[in-house]
Amino acid sequence: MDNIWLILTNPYSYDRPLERFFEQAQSETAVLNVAFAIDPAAMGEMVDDLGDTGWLSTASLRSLQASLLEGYRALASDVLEEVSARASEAGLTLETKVVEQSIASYIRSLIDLGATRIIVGGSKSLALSLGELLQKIEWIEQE
Amino acid sequence: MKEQATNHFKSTGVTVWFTGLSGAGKTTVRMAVEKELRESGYALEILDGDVVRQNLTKGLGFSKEDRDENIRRIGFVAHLLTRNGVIVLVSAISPYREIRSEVKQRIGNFIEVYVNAPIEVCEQRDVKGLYKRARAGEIKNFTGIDDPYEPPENPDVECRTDKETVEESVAKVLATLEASGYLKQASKVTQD
Repeated sequence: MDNIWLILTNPYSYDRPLERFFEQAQSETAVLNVAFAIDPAAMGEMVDDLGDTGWLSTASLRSLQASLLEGYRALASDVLEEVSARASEAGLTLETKVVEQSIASYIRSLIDLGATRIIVGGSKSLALSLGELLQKIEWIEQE
Repeated sequence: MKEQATNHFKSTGVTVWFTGLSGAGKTTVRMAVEKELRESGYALEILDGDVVRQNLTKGLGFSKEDRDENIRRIGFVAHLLTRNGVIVLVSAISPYREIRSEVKQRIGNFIEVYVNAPIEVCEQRDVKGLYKRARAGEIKNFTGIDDPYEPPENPDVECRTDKETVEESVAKVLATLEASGYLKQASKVTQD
């Protein structure tokens, strides 16, 4: 049985990759998996960036980063809940999870585990960072 | 499939977004609101970009697109914190109505505070000397001088800092927060 993965990276914009995933899911007999990927390093860079540019003059960067990550986990879970509800309406059952690692290393791990198809939704800049991995996945740009 | 609206997401804290011209009193009102909320034990985070020349994220300039992207990033940070039960006080000129509206829709639990003083008053205050430098052409794309400020059409709170005291402004913000019900959901700081 095929093993299809959808990886989401933007909590505000994921309709096109989801639509494509549903198309694939309905045309194949497969185990369906959806992950929302959070890159902790990117979160850290964002907090450092805000600190460097004067937005966080009095905040504790470490506690702020922990709070941001906790909030992001919750928001990602909200997205997956919404995705599961839409899948259910379409008669599909999904396995969902929030993962915290770089997109590239997560994609590599799925390939190693034998994923037969990986659909990823994300920004152009994220696509550029994936290099040759782009050849092994279906990328759907979603700003 | 229609692109989804996103304000269905659960939020448990609230973002209070202070917008207005440089010198209108955003940081002053924000700090006074912060003091009251801290004394009541709420978990708070502050995002204050009122230092005009420092308030853009690295790699971004002062075009409308860059300013919008900057506000979008600040809004994202505020959203994550709000989702984690935090009260987030954001002080940012945030001159463009559309992007403020986008951020509000995304976060959901959101109070827009328009800190309003006429530009003549802001320019007279000019505590950082920025208007003088903008008038002299040393600062380009300065909001209110050679870049527009689009006032909120329907803010949750309007603080007329040229006509009311800081205490009166703070009372209006706190009353709106109370009436919204968001404070009931927000986290309080736990003390060991």
